Amino acid sequence: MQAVIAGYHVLPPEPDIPMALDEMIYTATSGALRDAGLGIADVSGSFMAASDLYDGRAISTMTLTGSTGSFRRNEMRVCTDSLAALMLAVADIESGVSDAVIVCTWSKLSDADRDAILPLGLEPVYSRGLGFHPGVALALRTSAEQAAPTRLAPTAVRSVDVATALILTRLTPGRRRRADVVGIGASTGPYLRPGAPVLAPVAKAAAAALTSAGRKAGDVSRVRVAGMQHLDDAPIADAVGVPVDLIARRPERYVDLGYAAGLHALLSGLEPPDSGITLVIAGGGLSMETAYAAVVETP
Amino acid sequence: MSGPQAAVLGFGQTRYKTSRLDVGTPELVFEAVSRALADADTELSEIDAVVFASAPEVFEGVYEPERWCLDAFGGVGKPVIRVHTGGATGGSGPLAAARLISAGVYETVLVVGLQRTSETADAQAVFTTIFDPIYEQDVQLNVITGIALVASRQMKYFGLTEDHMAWISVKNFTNALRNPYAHLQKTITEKDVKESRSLAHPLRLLHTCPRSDGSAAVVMTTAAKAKTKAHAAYVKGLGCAADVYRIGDRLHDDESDFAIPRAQAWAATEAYREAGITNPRRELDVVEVYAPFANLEIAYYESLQLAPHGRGIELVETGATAMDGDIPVVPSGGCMTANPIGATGLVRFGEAALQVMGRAGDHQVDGARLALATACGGIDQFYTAAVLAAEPD
Amino acid sequence: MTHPTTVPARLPGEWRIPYQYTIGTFASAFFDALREQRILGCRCGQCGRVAVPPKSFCEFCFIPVEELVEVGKEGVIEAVTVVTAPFAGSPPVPYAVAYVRPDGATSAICNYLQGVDLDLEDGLNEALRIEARVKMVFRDDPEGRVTDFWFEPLSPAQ
Repeated sequence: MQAVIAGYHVLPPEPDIPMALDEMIYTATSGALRDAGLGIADVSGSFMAASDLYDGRAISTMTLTGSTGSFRRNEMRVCTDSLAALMLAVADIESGVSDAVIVCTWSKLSDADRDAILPLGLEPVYSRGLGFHPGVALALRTSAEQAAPTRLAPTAVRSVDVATALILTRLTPGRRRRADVVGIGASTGPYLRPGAPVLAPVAKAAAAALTSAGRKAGDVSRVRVAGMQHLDDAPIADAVGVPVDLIARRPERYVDLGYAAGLHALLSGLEPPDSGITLVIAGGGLSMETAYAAVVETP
Repeated sequence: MSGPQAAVLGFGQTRYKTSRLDVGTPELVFEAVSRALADADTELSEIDAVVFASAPEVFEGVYEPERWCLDAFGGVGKPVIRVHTGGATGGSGPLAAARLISAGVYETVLVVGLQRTSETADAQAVFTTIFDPIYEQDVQLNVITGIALVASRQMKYFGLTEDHMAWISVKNFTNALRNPYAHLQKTITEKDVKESRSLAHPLRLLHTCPRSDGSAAVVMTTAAKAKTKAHAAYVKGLGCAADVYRIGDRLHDDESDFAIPRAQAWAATEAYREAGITNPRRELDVVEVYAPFANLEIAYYESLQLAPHGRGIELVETGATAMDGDIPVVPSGGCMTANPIGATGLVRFGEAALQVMGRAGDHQVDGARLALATACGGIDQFYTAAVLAAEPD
Repeated sequence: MTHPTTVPARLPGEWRIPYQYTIGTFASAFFDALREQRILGCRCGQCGRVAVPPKSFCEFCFIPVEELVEVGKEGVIEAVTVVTAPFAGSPPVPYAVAYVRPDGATSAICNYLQGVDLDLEDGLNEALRIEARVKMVFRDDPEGRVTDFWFEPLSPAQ
């Protein structure tokens, strides 16, 4: 598996980016094309990750079509971490259908109220009606795994705005090549229900990505972690099977980048470029149900 | 395309109703998925990944409803990706699955569609949020007025009349009587249609789709694996295209007219090219088009190159798209008789697969070997198209 | 040509969308039984698992479930957390939430754990131990919602 990141652009996370959402996204996508030395005519589609609730409108991508570069092109949108959008983009390239596509993602929580959104992730029949802090979901799963009570203390998680885009292409001589995506994987854990190890999806997604890259955990030089604010480095390192000093996270851990977390973590490893093989792993969900992983190599 | 061809092994769906009071949301999904697995003669353990197609979650009122439904589709321990392109979601799901299969990422993929439109009493409250909150929300534009704009141009420039629209409605309701899963199952006449309540001129109640609860699922895999199973449909071509959001920016130019949705044409052209189809009108045997309004179905005849530009009404006047015509359109009854939004595109895809497998029961089109399925999202904004064949490449 | 104003504005908006969640016959039976101070689960005819709360299918065997069964009104704690982080709409902190497996069930159900001293300065309260036994306590005026019951320790807590 080998899909090339020809270029990218990041609007770094800020408490409040003073642009409308479509302007933020256009800055990222047009910047990525420029960085790749390509024009919009060179790409055949746009793969994006976004949340209706974070964006504050149903089918949020409807009004954003132009800015994502989707006009007259394939448009694929996922409502999971952006590494899943990358996965579908890689499939497009690997299946031979596309030569170059945009992958983009964003989150504009400065326009929304995060605390009003989170409880909506609790199913409405048995859980939401209890009205407890949404963090209880993960705290209970951890309690079962550790066979001990846990404490859910106040932790301030900052809301931010962010937008990123990259251009994914087939390996083509003469074209820019910032990094290669050589492996992808994903897995899912139970929803709310305690009993299984919390980090099982992370372990499985990482293993799947490494297998698809033809690599092992021992080949990895760095693990970039996205999301998973409430989980520490050591258990994540254990789950992936690497020494804890390989874990790289954002300097500010308790920040919510929404579905943009995965792609942002991946791109953080390109400036300056990580050497060797980087595993990017994004975990999410109230009870840590989902995990997506990518293996990136810099040439 | 270089990788393995994708195939469809089976299709499952739930009886569409305004509200399935007897089941919670995960239970609704379970029904469709267990039927799909049985139809595909496939065990859950053979599923390598799941694509979950569900449109605005404001309908279910749960953020990330696929998490809640995980157990209902055996998602624990598997890769699960949720896709959402408004009404086209059910078409984007199989498209994503097909690419994953052709890229060799996963061999067998379950695609699940879900929508519960009945959880909130006021669907329009949801729909107003799809419009631009900066400029348009205060104007209370909605889906029905958007489609009425299409009809007004069709009537002015392309000969559309209420008679044509009524014929479509009667055709689709009649077809639905032979589909046990359809939501609306009643006999109507053209007179009933023309006398039904006016919504936004010229659209009337019997020109439009119902709001339906429902779930659907398909099992997809490689053509090689499909050949070892009892029956399969083969994906010959796929297309997807999006138009600009602002209706005002696409009402009319030298190349297109809002009355003939061009993004549907772009998506279909891409699918036809991949499938090697040069004369859709002659080569296709059956079309399961996602057309939630009677006038839109006629517009799509043109977008899909079944009729010349501006002459969609000819297929109505000759009866060509009726069950006994030479290019039946929506033998299942289509969206006008069942519309579980995020799942609807998947239902079109599943119905098209059933047709080329010869397994559509009472609404089977005799000898169908090549079928087209489409999906539509937004106000005629996102489109997918899929060509399915009885034989592999 | 002048550039657009550089003082970007914000427009307020809000989603106010009421819901009537369809919960199905199995969940409805569960809430009906709560009014009668009974806890219902369902038993899978194939694997024998007893799930609480009940649902119409067994996810392990992936088959429909036919049988509703009554389970005990006591059980064991399988997970518990004490919340000291405030949240809009939540009870005042501190409060405890636990997953409890009722006697006769193979799964656990979640609810508040009350009647326990949550002052943890001197270490964890025995009543909060994993595998501690609790009982279900029911509201006098049930509403057909999950808040119609909660857990309390079986032995008196400090």
